[in-house]
Amino acid sequence: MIVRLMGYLVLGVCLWIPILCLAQTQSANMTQPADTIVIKNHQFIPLQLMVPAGQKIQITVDNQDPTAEEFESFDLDREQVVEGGKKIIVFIGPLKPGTYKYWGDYHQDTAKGVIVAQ
Amino acid sequence: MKLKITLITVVFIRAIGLSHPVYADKEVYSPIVQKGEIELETKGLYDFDHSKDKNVVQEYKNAIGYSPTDRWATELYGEFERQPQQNDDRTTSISSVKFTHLEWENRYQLTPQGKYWLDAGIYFAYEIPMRDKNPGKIEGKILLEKSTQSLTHTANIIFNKEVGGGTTQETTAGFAWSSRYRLSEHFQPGIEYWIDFGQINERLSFNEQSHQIGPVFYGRLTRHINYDIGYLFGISDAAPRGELKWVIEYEF
Repeated sequence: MIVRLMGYLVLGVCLWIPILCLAQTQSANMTQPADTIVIKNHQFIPLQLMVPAGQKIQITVDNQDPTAEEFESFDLDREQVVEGGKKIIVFIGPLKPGTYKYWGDYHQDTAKGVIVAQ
Repeated sequence: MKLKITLITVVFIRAIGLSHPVYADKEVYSPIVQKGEIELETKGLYDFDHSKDKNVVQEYKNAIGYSPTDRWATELYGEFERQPQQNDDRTTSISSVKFTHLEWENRYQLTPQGKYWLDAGIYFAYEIPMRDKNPGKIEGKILLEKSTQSLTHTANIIFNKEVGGGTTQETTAGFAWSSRYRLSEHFQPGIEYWIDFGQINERLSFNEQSHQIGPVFYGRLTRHINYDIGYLFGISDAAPRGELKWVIEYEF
């Protein structure tokens, strides 16, 4: 019975593979690499990042501090930890034109920034 | 005679099985995992119904969880239940609250958040019975999520199987859906729809399946405390007339 259950799980996952592959092809064509956001001295650089509206965007968050930080944004629905001295990729959008706040959850007093989609 | 008693017992337990919630909790799981997060969690269900075997059924789970990587989250639960039981005079009543299971739960995020059109993950849990006569249970889920700027839609495809001694059910299947409006970090109104299709080798009618739908509110009370509370209305005969559900998480 366990084998049968695992079979259903595998079948379920397999059913989604073509959809994910299709989505991957589409997103690979559509995702625009944007700039990098650097974390240094518990601050985001630049404070304001301009990105194109209406497109899926790939942002690199480069933490140059020795301690971990969490890239968090309610506006963008993202919450990802980046270890000290490491980089992560954050996929966002497509965004409507506007301003989207983000912050570093571990250093909220200093680590603040905005992404402007236009 | 012994066979007859066994058959009657099995039929009774199966009838009870249809009339109380199959799911030990009513949380629609997101495939997204936050690395390094430690979590204390309490969640529960409280049923309301005219029928004695469905009224005041209660299930509570308390957990501690951790996400060792940005793909894998694991939690250990203690499960407490108050369920229908058969009395010596063959009437049905609700038991006292009993510690029934330990559960080990795991979620694995399959796709980076936002990279594809749909975020996907899988879930696997094993329930160890704390009472000799109770069977264990394994539960698998496919977790899917689609977020837009103001809405988050989450779907879980659910499979359950009893294992070990005292099993009375074949594999059961279910489905859970949540849509929430991301109004603010502190308050996000939404709706959930829960289906228990029953055993997959049976073709139950709509009223024999459990269908529940209702408003649910999600949000963050403070920086560390998240909530998910709602009331589900039973829209098929097998479902309780009403069910209060809640999840409170303390994350750090």
